[in-house]
Amino acid sequence: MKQKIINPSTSVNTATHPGSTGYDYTMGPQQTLPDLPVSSGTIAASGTNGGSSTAASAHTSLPSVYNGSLHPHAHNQHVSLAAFAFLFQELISQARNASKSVSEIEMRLHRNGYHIGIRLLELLNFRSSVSPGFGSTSSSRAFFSKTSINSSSNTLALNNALTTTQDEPSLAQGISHMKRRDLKPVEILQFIHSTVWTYLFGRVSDDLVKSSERDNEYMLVDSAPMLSQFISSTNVQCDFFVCGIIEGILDSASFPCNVTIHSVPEPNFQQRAVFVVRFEQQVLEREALRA
Amino acid sequence: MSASTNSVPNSSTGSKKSLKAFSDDIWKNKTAKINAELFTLTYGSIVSQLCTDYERDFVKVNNQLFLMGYNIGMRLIEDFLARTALPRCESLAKTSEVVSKCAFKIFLNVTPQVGNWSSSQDAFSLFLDENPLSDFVELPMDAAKELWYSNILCGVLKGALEMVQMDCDVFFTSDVLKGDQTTELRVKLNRVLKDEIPAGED
Amino acid sequence: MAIQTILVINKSGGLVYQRDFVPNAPRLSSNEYLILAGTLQGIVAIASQITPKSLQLDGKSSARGGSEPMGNNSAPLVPYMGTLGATTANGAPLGSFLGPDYFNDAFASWNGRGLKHVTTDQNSLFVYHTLTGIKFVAVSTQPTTNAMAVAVAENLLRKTYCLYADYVMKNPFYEPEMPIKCELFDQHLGTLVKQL
Repeated sequence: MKQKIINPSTSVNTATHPGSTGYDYTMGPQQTLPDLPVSSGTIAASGTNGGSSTAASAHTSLPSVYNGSLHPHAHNQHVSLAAFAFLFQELISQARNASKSVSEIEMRLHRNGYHIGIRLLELLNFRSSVSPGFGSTSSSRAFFSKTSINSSSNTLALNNALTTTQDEPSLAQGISHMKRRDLKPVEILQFIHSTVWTYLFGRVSDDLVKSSERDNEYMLVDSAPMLSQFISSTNVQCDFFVCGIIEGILDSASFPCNVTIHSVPEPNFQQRAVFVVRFEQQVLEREALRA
Repeated sequence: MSASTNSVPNSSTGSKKSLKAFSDDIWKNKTAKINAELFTLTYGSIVSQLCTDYERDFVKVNNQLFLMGYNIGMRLIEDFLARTALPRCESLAKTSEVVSKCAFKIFLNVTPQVGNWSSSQDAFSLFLDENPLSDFVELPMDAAKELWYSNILCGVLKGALEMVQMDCDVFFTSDVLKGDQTTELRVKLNRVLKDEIPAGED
Repeated sequence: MAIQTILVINKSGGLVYQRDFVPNAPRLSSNEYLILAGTLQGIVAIASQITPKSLQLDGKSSARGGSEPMGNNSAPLVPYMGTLGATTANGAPLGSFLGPDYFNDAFASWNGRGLKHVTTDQNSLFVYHTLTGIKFVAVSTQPTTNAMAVAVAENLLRKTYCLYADYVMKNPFYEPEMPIKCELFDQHLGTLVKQL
């Protein structure tokens, strides 16, 4: 009975794996279908008497991250900059206490950012594949009410359950075709310059330039870095955190590189920073082969 | 819940609304904001790094998160007071209201429910329906028993309240991440540090 | 009226920040500033002890009124000060504190019987304390008891508190209770005072 030889990701025996006692990382996350109530008992109930309310309540009592929408509006969109700044300053304090040298502090910040970067590539790619205009709340509501009207009376209950349990529609419905993978260094850097920067800081970065001296070097310019704006300049570059994010994204997109930051103040922008991306030689070699 | 309103004689329902409106206005018009997912992901990277650093000794991770929060709270209170200019709370009931409706709102844009008052009115719970720290989070099996993922919040409250001379114990009693029905954060007032209240106050 | 000096005193009475804004005004030595800070700390405590009972009651009722934000009987509105901290083209933004004038709303000073204002023939001195025990002090170049000028000074000190919350508290390299050496705090405070 309890032999776990094959464990198909979509049919979890909830008796042996109750709701949310965590996932077993030897098996990986176990998905439950987002539109079906989790316990088999309630499926039967909602199937026979169409009790969408019981289904909904059973569903909400067992929240699972896999049922959540990837829609950016599905969650709180913002927290205060102050809340982030305090977390960030504590992160830096901790790194400072645990380190013996400036470069070690920066390495730790970089590592924290890297963890974020490797998670962002797929998510942002996915989101930027959604056709523009989809998912503004009103249109998604309209979409759903239309389906429930058109559907036959048998499936109406299930559709109701679906609309009530999911605040937002699945983003996948707004995608007609996925955004193509970025293959050229310039493309992926533009993705960072625009999509990633807007996601992180609410605006595109101020400039993206190619080094005139070295083939593998590009520079992203931010004249007022958001995360370190309250930190008076020291010999520690706190924006190594952002370097880590960029490097994480580029690494997971198969553009191995090294990202560093240099502060290049200008009269009106005292905190102006230049992020220097140095691709590894293999990236250039691959480019040469493609051309 | 009713106990809290009883013990605040001069907070009628009208003034309750006004604290909410006051906080909403600060959140909407007077506070710089940042992407909540970046905040969530940053916190996630901190927790996961701690789990690695402490070789998955989750009791140590809890303590470290609490300590980090404590340091944050001692600083964050200045931001809160500068931002709101609220006067000292005359009762713990008022404190609970300010923490839930004002502090959580203007920093994290959530409003936890206050409830579960102790019979002696010296302890209450905050129920977090939403928690921006733990969006997208599922605990691994080994962590689900011992790790209080959002423990940093306890430290923040402890540190912030201590700076306004309230010595409190703050701890989680349940968390939806562990399979509980609610996420409940308990605040227990031990004493008011009267000696440390700055001179000149009413 | 111009601002001559701004001081920040921590909760144990230690001077953690001192800055002169008038280039050739007479100065105190750093030691004298430390003594001034300690003395102020003591005077604030004494002032609260000697305030007549009737005034204490007064202060109490006004603070109570202000404790309900937007309430009817809140403290008098600190008037809108035009360019003070305005996020207009020429005004410097006030860090993470947004809005045309962050303190366009009424607020109640909770230290109803503490020291707020000292006037001599030469100067006026304004004090703003926080609930956590920090004191922000501004010294003006001329004596004044004008209500408008007092409101401006109070407004300035509250904004100084905001800058402190942003550029001192959010700086991981600042150790709490220690002297403030934060370039950005200096810069923004300078801009704020210049706008007066």
